[in-house]
Amino acid sequence: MTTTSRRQFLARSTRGVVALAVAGAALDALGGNADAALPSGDLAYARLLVGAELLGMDFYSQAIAAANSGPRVAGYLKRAYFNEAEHYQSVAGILSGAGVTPAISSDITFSYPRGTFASEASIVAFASKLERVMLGAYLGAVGGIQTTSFLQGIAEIAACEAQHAGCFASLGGGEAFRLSFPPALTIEQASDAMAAYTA
Amino acid sequence: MRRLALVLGTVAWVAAAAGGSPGATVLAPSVRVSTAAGTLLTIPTPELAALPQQTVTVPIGGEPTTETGPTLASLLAYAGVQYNAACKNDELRWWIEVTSASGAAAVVTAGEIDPGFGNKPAILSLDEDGRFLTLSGPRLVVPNDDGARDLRQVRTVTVGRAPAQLPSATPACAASGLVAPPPPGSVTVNGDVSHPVTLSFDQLQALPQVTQTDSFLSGSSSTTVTEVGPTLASVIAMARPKVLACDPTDDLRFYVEVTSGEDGYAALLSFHELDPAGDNDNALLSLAENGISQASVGPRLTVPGDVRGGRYVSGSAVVTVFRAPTETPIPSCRKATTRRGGNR
Repeated sequence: MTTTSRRQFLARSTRGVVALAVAGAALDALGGNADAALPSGDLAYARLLVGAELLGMDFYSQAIAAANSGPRVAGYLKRAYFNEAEHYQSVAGILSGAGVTPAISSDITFSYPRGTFASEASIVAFASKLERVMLGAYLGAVGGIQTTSFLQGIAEIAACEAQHAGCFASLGGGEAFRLSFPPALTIEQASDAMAAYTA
Repeated sequence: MRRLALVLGTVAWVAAAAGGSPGATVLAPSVRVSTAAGTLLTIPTPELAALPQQTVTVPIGGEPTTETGPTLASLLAYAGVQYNAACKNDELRWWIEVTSASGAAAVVTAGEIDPGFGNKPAILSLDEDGRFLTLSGPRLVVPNDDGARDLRQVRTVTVGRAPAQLPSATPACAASGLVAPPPPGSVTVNGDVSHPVTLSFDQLQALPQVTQTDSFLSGSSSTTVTEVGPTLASVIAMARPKVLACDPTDDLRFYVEVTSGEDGYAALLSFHELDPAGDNDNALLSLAENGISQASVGPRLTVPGDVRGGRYVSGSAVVTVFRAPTETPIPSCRKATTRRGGNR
């Protein structure tokens, strides 16, 4: 039994490298894949996507808790939350599989523009905006991640985020789809866009 | 700066963290890790993916099922559970109770799930044959077990250190004890039992005897011994554990502490490990080791299958039966008296 605490897990994750050199009993005992060296760029993308999913989970949970949407929109919000939760599990696994501890919800305080949760319309508008950012982040990851075995799953998540984006755009009175080639965001663009919602 | 935080790691977010968004409704069920002192950690099911994942294949419903999730041990470590490094094999004194949404519960011991001892590295599965358990909650899976302790929709993990029955030669382990040691060679059975009893060496010899050959690591070398004695289960049965009749799986909440009269060293086994109707690991209170009587020092606990010999308690003098506390009463027991084990 390891005595590696949460504090130590987090400290390890902030070193910015795969914890290959950590010879603690934890990884050995837990079957940590110490051989799974990932390119640093892939780790950066995985962290970004973990942050994006935490933001998505946080937003949808608050939107549902606001309880001011009609049953149709509320249903979409709940399903979107469910999707983002499963996406989190998936992308967090990239990091934990490499011996790096991903962020969890209690690590981050998110903040939103005033009135975001005031009405169904404001929630839908924000969801549409958020999903475009998340779609862009995943599309950027598809182009930037070097580990090819991740690409299928990342692309599948991107498709799901595109569905979210189209759905909420349509619910908000906009076009469900338009562009033939929705733009990918660079890791910096996506990071900046999401950082606007951290306290 | 935010960009750097996102790209390079979580350090800035961690520094800015203030316990999550207030008022947020978390739809995925959470798992709470607690001790008698309070809650150590509450974590939504999907976020258990933040811990190192382990995959095991176990039979469920007769079909091999692939389960992936963090080990229970890693979750406890993440929550901040720390064993006393000044006490040799302190982890062997700790129990872990896992409770589901329905109130069903099962106990494993920290030594039992340690790959270095009992080698049943239990996990909280998040992924079952490729299906995420995101909204239902994780599933307790105990590898190398008979499957009785597989629990769906886990909600609570409660952990505690069994109280010392006898003072330890190492004060860091136990400066004092709760009972008087029995005469040398005798064994007292106490705790959550209807008829506490002290059995003399002769009385132990009068029980059905089992012979077994055990191999385990002692330091870096392998040791093989031949042991003869009654099963621990048969000794405990004489004291009649107080299992609640309203819950057919109440026995899964029980665990047993075996304490040495020589030095107060102690180790736990889950009741299910030794239960003939359970996993039946055939633990003995051996009265003769390699043909040498243990009458002068007391019997030696054996735990067949253990990797290391940490739970082979020499000079066993006190066997204490505990029932882990009820975290969530099951419907059939709500009218029954809820007994707290008083053992945390």
